[in-house]
Amino acid sequence: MIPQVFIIDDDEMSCYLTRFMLKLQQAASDIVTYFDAEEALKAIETGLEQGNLPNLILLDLNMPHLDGWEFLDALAPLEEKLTNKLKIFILTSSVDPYDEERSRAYSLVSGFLPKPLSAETANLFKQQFGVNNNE
Amino acid sequence: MQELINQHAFFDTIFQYNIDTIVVLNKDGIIIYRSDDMQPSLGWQSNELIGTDIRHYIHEEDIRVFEAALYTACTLRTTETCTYRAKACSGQWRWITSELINMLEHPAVQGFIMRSKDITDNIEAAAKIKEKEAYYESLFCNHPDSVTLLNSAGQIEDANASTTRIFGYTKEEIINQHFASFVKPEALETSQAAFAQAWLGKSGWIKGTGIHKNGTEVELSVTLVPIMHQGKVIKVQGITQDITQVIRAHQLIKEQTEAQSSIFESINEGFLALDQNFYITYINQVCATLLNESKEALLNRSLFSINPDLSSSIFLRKCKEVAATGKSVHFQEYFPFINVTLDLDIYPTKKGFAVHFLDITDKIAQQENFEKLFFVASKVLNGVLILQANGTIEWANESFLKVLDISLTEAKGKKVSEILGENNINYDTIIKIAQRVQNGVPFSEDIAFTQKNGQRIWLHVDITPELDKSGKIKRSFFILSDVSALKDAELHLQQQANALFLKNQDLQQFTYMVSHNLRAPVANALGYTDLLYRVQKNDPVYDKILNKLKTSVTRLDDVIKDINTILAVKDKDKPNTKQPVSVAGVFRQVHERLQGALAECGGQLVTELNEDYKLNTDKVYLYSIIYKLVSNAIKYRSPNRPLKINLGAWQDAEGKIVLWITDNGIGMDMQKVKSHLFKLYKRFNTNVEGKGMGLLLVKNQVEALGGHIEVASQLDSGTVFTISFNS
Repeated sequence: MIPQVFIIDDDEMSCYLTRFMLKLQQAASDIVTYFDAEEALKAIETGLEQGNLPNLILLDLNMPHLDGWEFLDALAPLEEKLTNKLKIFILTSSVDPYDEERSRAYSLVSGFLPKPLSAETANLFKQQFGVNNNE
Repeated sequence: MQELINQHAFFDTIFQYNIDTIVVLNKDGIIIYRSDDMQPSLGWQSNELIGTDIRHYIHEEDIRVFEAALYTACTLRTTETCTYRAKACSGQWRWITSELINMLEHPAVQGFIMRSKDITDNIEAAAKIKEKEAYYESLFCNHPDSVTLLNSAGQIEDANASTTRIFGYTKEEIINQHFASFVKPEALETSQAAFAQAWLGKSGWIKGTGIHKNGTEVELSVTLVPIMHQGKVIKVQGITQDITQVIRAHQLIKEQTEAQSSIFESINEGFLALDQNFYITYINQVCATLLNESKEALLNRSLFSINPDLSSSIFLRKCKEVAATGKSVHFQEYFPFINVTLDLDIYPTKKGFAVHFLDITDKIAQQENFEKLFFVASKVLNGVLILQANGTIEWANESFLKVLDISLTEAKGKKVSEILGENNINYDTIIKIAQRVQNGVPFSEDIAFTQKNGQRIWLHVDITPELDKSGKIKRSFFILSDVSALKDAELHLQQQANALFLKNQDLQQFTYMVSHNLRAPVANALGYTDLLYRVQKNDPVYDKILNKLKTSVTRLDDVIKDINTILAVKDKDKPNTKQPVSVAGVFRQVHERLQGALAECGGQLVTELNEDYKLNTDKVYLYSIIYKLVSNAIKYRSPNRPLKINLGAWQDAEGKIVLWITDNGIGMDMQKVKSHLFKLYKRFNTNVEGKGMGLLLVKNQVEALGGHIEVASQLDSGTVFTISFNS
């Protein structure tokens, strides 16, 4: 089980679905949902100070106010501190190859996943982060 | 008597040794005795003379002198001397001087003793001296040239009247002066050398410049002649001639000749002088070059020896005409043997003819060329216009004149702006072109031109300024071609490119909408459908998931509808529904419609615009745009202050109508939202209800009406939207 996962997405329907799948596959124990990326950013900054970071972030791209890209740009100054402590996957409805291409430029981004989150991907997370967790 | 005879013998003896002749006259002048003449100059025999009157032998002019002397001697008893001419035996006259001694009282003589001497030789010698003196006088004193006598020191001992005339000094001023004081310093050396040579016995001649008393220069020719006496030079005589006039005249003639020659050489005209027999007496270089021979070779040759064809030329005929009439002629003739056409003038001269000519071969060729070009320029379909430096029309061809329906006479000297109709062409364009011409560099310009029939055509104008040597603009050439078809095609192409660009933008937007807006509900629906398989039907979650699936599909339907709305607006090919719409009217409609909402939130809407503003547009779209923007202003009002909305319009300098709407709402951080403002489902405020489609729709509608929307905003201060429409 992944100790903590952040879902950052303004689409409530999508958030529910993702959370449900992670729970269903028993992939994560603590799932926090942020409809506003700004709030997620604050939580990460606070978590960094208190040594309390999520293990995985599932980030949507198309959001009002602060979108996925802007969120990643805002995290860039913290990149060194965050590397190896958390993994970010983009989980988007976009099937635009340009977006996937663009995501590769961010070293914090570990992967580009199309919505919806599949059971297989949830299991993969579970295995990956579970091993880490066991250590 | 014997005594007397003895006495005679005595006298004879005495007188024989006397060189004088003794004659004794009685008181009446009759010769009674004559001694034997030792110098028989008169040649008479004594016996011939005895008993004759002495007057018989005396020259009638001298008788009076003789009588006077005789009378004086007689009356005063003195001895008188007289000189007279006496006739010799040969008939010659001899000068005789006689002493008359009165011895009338002497009983032995009883007469006058006349002692005579022949002095003819003396008198002649004296006359010769007189003659020489006169000769010298005339040679020295009256000599037209200056004659001076110089001593060994070079001082002037004597000078004649001409000397004073030539140098302007009086004789007194000249005498004892050194000759050098009358010589210009530059000529001194030469004159001193010649002077020294004269002292060596060699006469010499020099030319030099002297100085007149008044300071002017006189040109002199000086001959120095040594005067020899007993083999030695005792003086030097200088004969100085004033040749100033001669020299000047020579100089003048020389200069005039040179000037004339150089004129004949320098001019481009050929010049030829012929005598009556058509022999060349003068020829200048131009003429020689034309005949392809040297001047020297041509001089004194007969014209016909140069080319026999000339004997049948108009030139010869004209020469004869000139000879006959004495009047000059002017004509042109083509000479095949040198392949040139000359423009000739023939003038009669005393000895023949003077011929001036100009080679006009090139000119004629140019003329022909010009005529050809002129013909082309006149008849060509392109408009041709030539303007002078001051912008007035110098020439225009038929095509140009036809377009403006004006004759060349009317157009000439006028400015282009004066002959153009008011609506033919934009006045600014003319000014712009006129200014660019001043750069002196050829350029092209496409200008729109409205023809008389109202049809608008495009003219491509090639403008070439012509500069003079100083770089100033002399005139400018305009070649106009109707490129309407081309221009229309270009414009069409441009429009297509623009449309394509917009289409491309639309396509990008569509891609975005598909990948994000459309794909999002689909992804959700997919996810929930997948979950349905993973959850048992009796699980209470199953219905919840089913419900979510339905919501997702409904949402998908909404998105498809919205996209359709957006794309429908984007479809600009639909029939034109534009009509004149009162802006103020639309503002009023929106205000009325939203009055309730405004009243609810205590908002205020103020409109400021000219009631007359009208837009040729689609009223429904314009209403929709204003409605949405005012709705947004109400929706995003600030909770901290009562809402104030201003709606206005104004017309800018280019005639564009600009609408604006300002509010004092919550505003936006433009840095953040700029790139997303007009995207589908972009909302910037999560607290306010909305799909985030409004602004995209507004933008598409504005663009569908050929307008342009811009936004400026500040957080917690307000937002301004400006929409500009082409007039």
